Amino acid sequence: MKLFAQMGFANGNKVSKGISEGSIDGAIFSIKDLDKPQINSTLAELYAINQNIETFIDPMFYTSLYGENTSLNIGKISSWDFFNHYKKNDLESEKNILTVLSSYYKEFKESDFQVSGLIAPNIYISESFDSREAVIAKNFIRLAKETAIKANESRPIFASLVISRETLINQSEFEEFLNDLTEIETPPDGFYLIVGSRTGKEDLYHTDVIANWMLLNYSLSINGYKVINGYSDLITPFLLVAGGYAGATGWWSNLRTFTINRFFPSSGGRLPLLRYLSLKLLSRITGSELSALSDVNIDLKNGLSHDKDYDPDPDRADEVLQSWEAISELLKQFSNSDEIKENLIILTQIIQSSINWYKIIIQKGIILSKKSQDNHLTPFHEAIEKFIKNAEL
Amino acid sequence: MDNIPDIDQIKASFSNVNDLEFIQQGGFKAVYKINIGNREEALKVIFIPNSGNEEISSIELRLIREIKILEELDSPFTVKLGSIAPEKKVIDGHNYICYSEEFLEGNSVRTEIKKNRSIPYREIKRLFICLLATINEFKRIGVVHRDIKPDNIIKTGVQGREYVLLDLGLAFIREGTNLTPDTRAIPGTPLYLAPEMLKTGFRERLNFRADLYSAALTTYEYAVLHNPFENPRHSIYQTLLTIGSAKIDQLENLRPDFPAYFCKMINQSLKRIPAIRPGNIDKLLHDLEERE
Repeated sequence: MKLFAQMGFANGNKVSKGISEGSIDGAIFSIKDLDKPQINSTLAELYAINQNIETFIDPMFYTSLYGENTSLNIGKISSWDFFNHYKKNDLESEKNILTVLSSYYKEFKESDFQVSGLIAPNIYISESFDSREAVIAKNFIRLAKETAIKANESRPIFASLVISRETLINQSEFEEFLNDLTEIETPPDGFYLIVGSRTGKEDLYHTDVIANWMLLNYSLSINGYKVINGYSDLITPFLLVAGGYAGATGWWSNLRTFTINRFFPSSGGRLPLLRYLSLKLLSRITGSELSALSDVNIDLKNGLSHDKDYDPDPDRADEVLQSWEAISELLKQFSNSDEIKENLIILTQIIQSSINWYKIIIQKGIILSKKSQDNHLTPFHEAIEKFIKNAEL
Repeated sequence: MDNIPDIDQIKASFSNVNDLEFIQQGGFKAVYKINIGNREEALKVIFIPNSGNEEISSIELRLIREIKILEELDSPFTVKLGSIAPEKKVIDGHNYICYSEEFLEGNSVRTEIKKNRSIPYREIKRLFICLLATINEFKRIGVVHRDIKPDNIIKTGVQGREYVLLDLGLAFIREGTNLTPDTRAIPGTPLYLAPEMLKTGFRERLNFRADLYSAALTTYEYAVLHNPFENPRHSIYQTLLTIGSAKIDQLENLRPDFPAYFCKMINQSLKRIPAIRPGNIDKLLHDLEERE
């Protein structure tokens, strides 16, 4: 079970540290935030620390249909030649899809990126698997490997599948799409899977979304694909238990949860509070909450090396190191075998333990802030039950 | 079958055929064992009703399709065409189409199941390998069989083709035209229907995984000697409801003597959602050949 850094603009040395400490197994680069020379120099730096890491570059083509919106901010993506803004009509032509894919592979090769595999471009399915967007996305997936072979690209190809949470909720459309996805003549080697939120992580913490995200990982892995889940943060263990290969999470909240809004100007506001990821709660709480609970003899720390950073609070740039360390530790609790049932039992026990911790907190009369409360646990628990039912485990 | 010709009438229609013996009948078809050029074959006689309704042409078209598929198939695990090419015959004033297939000695898997004797693992595994190889061949030519079941499989005892699949009468060409007049009608035998075939508009999405499901169910039944959906008190509707919702007992619970990987493979192939059945038949075959 692997965890990757979901990289953004602040390069710094967080990823190097995470790799040195062994809490992350690789990185997914953002072409919006880093230009080609920056990506190449960072790759060299990371491989100098550990040659066994896995690295990927997200082509972020899912922004291509939003060109009509003048406030769209695609950063350094525009410096790539393969990237253009399209309308859906344009991409209904297979010829144009082939052009996007082949020019991406060509440019990638010319840039001499030494990565483990290539993530192929695709669009964002914003509403439904029964839509024009879904048809276009399926064509991108269908042609991803075939085009790579023609471009003499021998590294593994990961087709992007970037979908909104809403697309996952219609069960029959979802199952039909899955059926199509697993019957491709020249299949990719794997998938780079992103599920987009509308409002932030809260709407991803939904029973049907998590259950079907798990089923997607399960189905693709049964069919021999490696699945890398982007922006999966705390949902990572659910996805990897279901058969996924890796999850990813990053530093700021927009690298923990994907939203297409990331490419539009934010409404401003204060920087979010620093939060400590407590494995006992399966959630993040503020340093002051951690301290208040400690005062009433409730120790919610993980017993890991980055705990000491929260005394009182770390530098903002180091917050992610504690997150990576915690999620990585969580993943170690699962067996690496393909015994899904066994791992689901462990996951259920972890959730049950979190429920018990929240009960203890309530018994002590401590009221946590809204973001720190236990709203995530019911969908977590129900998602496992729903997944077990749908996967007939 | 209505208007089944008797042996003497058939003999009179085929001068080069000897030793005619009636084997079975069903639907619009009767089957006879014959000797032709010192070789045993199965003569199939298909009754074509005289009325001018649409059903007539669909029987002929289905037959043409079945023969076309049989000609294209290269697998040792499917029945081969015999020496009598399809021809129209008028026997006793009724229209028939007649052709022959090779005659396969042996019992059907159904007959073997009815003996109610525990069947060793190597036999069960061999059946699944033969069926998977056949499905791979169907996949190659873009066909879904839609009626894999114990009744349609002969255990021949011949090395290299231990189990042979018969009867492609319901085979479906994925890119072809629909030959079932009522598109809502479900072809196949209810107990062996893949769950996705119970959904409206299933034809558009039907693929080899429906055959994989029926092959796994047939193998499961061969192993445990009963179909998990069979209940003599159930109506067809109740049976279909059960197929769409009931959980099958895992194979390892009923045959703990089987290797875990094999049980897992069968269980996985019996999943209700097609996309969570294994999609790589080559890999399944490779695993089966490599492992115990």
